[in-house]
Amino acid sequence: MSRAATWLAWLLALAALPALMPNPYVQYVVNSALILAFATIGLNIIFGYAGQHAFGFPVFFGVGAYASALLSIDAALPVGLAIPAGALVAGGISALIGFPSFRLRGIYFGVATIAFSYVIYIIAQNWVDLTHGPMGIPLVPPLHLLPDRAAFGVSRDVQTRLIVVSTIAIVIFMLDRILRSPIGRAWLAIRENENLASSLGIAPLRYQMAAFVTGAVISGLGGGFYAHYVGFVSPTELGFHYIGVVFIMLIAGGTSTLAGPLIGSVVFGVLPELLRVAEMARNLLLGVILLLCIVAMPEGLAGIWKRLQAARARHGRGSLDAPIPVVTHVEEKIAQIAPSLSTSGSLEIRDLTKQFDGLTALQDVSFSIQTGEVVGLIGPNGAGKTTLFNVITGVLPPTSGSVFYCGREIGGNTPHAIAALGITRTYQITSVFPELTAAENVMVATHLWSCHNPFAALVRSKRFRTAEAAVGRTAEMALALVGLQASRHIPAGVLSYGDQRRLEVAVALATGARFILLDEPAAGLNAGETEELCGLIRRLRSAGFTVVVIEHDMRMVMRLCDRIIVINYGRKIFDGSPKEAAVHPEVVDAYLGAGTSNA
Amino acid sequence: MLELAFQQVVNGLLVGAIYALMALGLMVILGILRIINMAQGELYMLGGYFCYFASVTLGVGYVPAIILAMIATAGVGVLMERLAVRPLLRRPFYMVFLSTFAVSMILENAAELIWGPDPQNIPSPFSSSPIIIGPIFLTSQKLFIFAVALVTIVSFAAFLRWTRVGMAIRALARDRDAALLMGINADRIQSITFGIGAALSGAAGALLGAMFNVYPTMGQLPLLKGFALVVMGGMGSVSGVFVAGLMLGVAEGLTAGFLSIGYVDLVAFATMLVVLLIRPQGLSKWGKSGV
Repeated sequence: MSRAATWLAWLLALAALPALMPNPYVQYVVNSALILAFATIGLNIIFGYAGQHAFGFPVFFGVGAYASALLSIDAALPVGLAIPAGALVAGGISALIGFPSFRLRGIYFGVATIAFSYVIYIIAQNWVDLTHGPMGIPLVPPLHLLPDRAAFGVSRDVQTRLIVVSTIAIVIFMLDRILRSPIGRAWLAIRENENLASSLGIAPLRYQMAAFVTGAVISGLGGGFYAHYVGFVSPTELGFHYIGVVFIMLIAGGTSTLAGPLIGSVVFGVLPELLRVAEMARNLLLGVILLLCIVAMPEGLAGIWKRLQAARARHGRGSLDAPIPVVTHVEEKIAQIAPSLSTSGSLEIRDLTKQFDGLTALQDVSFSIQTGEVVGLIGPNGAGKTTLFNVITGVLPPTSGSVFYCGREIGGNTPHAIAALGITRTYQITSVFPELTAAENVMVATHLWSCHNPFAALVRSKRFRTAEAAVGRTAEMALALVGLQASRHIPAGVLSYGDQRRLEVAVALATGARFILLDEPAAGLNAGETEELCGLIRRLRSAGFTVVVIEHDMRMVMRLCDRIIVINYGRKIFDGSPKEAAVHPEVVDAYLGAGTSNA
Repeated sequence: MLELAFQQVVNGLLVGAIYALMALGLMVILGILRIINMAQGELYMLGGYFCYFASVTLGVGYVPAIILAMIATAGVGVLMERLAVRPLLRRPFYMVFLSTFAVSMILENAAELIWGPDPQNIPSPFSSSPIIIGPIFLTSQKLFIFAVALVTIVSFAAFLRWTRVGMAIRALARDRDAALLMGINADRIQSITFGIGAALSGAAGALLGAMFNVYPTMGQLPLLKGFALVVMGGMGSVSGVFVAGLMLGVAEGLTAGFLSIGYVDLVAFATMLVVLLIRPQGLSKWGKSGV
């Protein structure tokens, strides 16, 4: 609650500030800057939190402005209805644009959003019947909180500011709650590592779209306020300059922070007006300031604030770390770390073939794995082991053949759908969410069984609070199990290699999966750490988990596994007990060779 | 009707060649550094203004003015790479996107301060009497511009293909780490690339500026169309971008002639979006490696 109170105090201070300088021009400048904060907050959701490089995104501010102005003039809607309706129109258009754009990756996605924004600009200029054409829409009716008679001399500027500031407060309050819920964690996860996120059961497109549309609605809301405050909308508000200004505000204020967009909007909304003394060179100066911002303070103004706070905390005035909760006997409670997604699971693979442009990585591979087994998957480098994992977990579709889990065909399903059945994996190359802390990494992994209903998150319903409490317990237990409790507030990217590998195991367990695929989990671990890992896998087996492990450490495989499957050149050449494998001529020839320890 | 079509196709080819020139400038930079240079449109605009400055203020002839404009724009490009791109290469790629956007604001405003907001005209040494081939109407100036654009594109392609520096540029674009291990001086090649990219767009600006006018905001639209062409033509292919440029010019010409002048600028983006939706990875071979 103190958090919300602090926010409210800041916002009220902001709103009251211009009262000290009751000059209409100052009022106008401050109000416009506050209104632009909506565009910046909206952009922050998709660009900052969800990490999607939607360069054309600020156009939805202008879309909201147009929609609201047109609804109030041509559809004669009251202003109080036109503004939210305009925001919904912006959201609807963003959905139409988002679906095709999210099929693209990286630079292509960014370019497509720019192209779409320009298409909107051209339409606004040319579809005169709808948009009133290049001259824009004059005489947009103003927004009144109170009829003039009952306003007691409170000016329209002040009324607007009250409405705008309280709306911003509500938006930030709601956004804060969403961010501290499985939805916000899913956004960060997709930003940090989309493949890992989807193998933990997060459907990337759904959350990307959610961020895109939510951001567009918030931006559009600001656009509506703008149209009815300024009283005029033109294609300029859809143009390139506006898009750039909103980006400047976000980056200079600080991305992925709640305060950053607001700070950036106010500072960079007011700054250009101060530069009016040099009217002719305004953009030049703005450009120079932006360049300096980017080079000198990439984390923005909010980042500097954070660093100051961290420094203060280090000097003993406050503490970042709460005491570590004591978790004992976690080894015995391994099955209670997370609720199970599925009770039993047997995997059956039939005649599986996978080809890449004529290269056959897997050919007619068939085998089955029973519940509660620990199976070693071995074979020389390039034999197709990781490809097999990728097909089972849905990263790659099979060329032919089938994969059944619990009797259900799962071949060709998406990774997040397969994860939802209770199959999870780790990666050959360590894969974590680098900017998120160890604890947050584990919390992301609880996605499949946590409560991700946005309304429950907004009102903090009982179900939501219960689920989040369970998420917190899971994080503590999973980290305690792998001995990472002390590092839980450290970003995963700066953990040591060994600790990252442990974290991966904690993440896998937190998903609630009972079928776990480990891709070379012992690679790079020393003898002691490997021994720990073996102990952990044995405990998983006793708790009823099924484990398939790709491994080159033959000593480990021989001692740990109930059964060994050997793959060579994409074909299964052996399936049986470790003892038989050690004497099977083809296996010895293909893999074991003279020495048996080539880890 | 048919005559109009012919005329629009020819006009379109002409404009298309210049689009291709602009897009190639963009492509070398995008290909090497994987960054979207938002100031490329302003380099194009500067090409136009430098040409204007050389021919009107300095009184140089038309052809030397174009060459001077290319050299001067290349200089601006190299400077820009030093100040706004190189310090940010280790940061997330959107940082460079924004820094180049800042440069575009600076350059546009600077041009306005120096030359004013009004369009300026580059005087042409060619007579305005038309050359008439069958139903088609041409001026010697347009033919000349087309020829210069072609020569520039062909020499650029030859440079990339057969010179040591050209090979180094291609190597760096293909695999940066491997290129570094082969002893390629990435910083130097990056500078050169930026210079070349700037010069190509500068040439486009000088040529189109001579046909129409030069003004401070003239670079915005060509920048966006350039992106569309780079995406459509394939990120790494000179011929692909060239053909896409010509096709875009023709499509725009026909749209202007038969549909509506207002929607001409929609053609590039609509086509690009369709292409992207059919081939989400882009048309290029590089798209596969996940650019």
